[in-house]
Amino acid sequence: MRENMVARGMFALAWSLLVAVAWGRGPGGEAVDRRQALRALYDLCSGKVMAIALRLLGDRAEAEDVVQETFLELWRRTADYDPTRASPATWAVVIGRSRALDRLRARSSAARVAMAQAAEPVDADPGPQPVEVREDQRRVREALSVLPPEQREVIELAYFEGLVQSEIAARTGQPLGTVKTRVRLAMEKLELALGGAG
Amino acid sequence: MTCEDFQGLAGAFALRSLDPAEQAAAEEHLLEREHRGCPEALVRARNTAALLASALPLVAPPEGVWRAIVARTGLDAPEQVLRLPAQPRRARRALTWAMAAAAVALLGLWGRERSARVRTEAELVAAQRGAQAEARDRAALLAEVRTLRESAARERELVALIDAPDSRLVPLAPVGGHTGRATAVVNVRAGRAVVLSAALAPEPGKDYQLWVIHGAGAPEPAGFLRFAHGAVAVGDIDPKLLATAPGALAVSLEPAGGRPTPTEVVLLGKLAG
Repeated sequence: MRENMVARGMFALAWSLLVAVAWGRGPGGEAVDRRQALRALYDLCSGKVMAIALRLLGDRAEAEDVVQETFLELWRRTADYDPTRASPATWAVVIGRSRALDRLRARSSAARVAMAQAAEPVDADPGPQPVEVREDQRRVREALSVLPPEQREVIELAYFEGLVQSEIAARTGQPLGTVKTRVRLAMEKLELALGGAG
Repeated sequence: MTCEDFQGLAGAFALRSLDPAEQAAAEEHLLEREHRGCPEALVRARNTAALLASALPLVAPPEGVWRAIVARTGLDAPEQVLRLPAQPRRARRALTWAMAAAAVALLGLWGRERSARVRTEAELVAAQRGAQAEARDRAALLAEVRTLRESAARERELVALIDAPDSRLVPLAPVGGHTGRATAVVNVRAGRAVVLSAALAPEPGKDYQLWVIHGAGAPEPAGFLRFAHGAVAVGDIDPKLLATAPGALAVSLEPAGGRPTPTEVVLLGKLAG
């Protein structure tokens, strides 16, 4: 119940930020500088978008380009946002990861291997993180940790390395059908564990 | 691909880990008009996939990224808080022609009547017209400020309605080959329901009319969507129709002023449970 209330509160905050970006007015009714509203949305989501882009691309400059493209797309497509489908943070992550995957898949196979070997390690100690971020991290890591190892592996290869199922099959030496089944089962379990709430 | 097939792939689709042929087949399936739970399965899978990013520690982009975004959005220019609504292109063109015709007429007058008395009268008329125009501009600006205040109060009310723990968000999906969508925020206990859409465009000479449907009863007219400001349309459902929980809400496109029964339903949303 409390979780639901917090989620609604966060939803209202993020929605009002998007409204402010689109309309130039804040939830308190005051005229709002749209730049400040976009900045608030950026502060809410950019760290997550940068994290997934850096993880996928292994290149800080490219990940920064992805963050830039993501917020320009959010800015242009505010009217497409559907609050019943996802929170703005989820929307930003979906767009950001998608743009990073586009870049990753545009690289040749050789370039992907070379980039993966030269990938910049993500800072192991990122410093203090906001409480709600630590709580999300704990929930997701816990949900991943209770998956059978072979299911966790396919999710990590698909989500954090951006591999398609046939590439996962080649990497793990498992039949494609087995990989598909593992991905499906893992996603069903994660949905149950995490609630599928955006 | 069947709905069952798609739903078995929804997780992989959300992860973007399908191979190209399967990805194309899944995208094609999503374009079909009738589904048994596919959009809902995709939303759940996408939200789950997006949450996986939370396993990573946040990485703050350098400040230069923000500066580049600001520059590319044009937000580094001074903010314009008051924006008069854009006039339709046809109206702008008509206005341009009218101004051009007036200018030609004035030039003709200027050429024919050169006496000092007429010039003085013309200057007086021009001054009066200028004052009238200024008064009109002032009235338009005041009206705009009033609209802003009303819109701000509406927005505050909307956020409060969304935030209420017993409010429900109901998606209104396109029907009958139409496009667009809307969201209804429904709070039966408070007798309040609002429909909002950022994906419908105003239609000249027509209104988007709201409808409430109870059980198997006929749709009851419940108000209109208004494009008061910006690109977002907002409409209040008549509270009298919320005495009992509606079974469904609809939006139809009707001749200006609406109709007692819907003629062209564009969006429909069911209130499950």
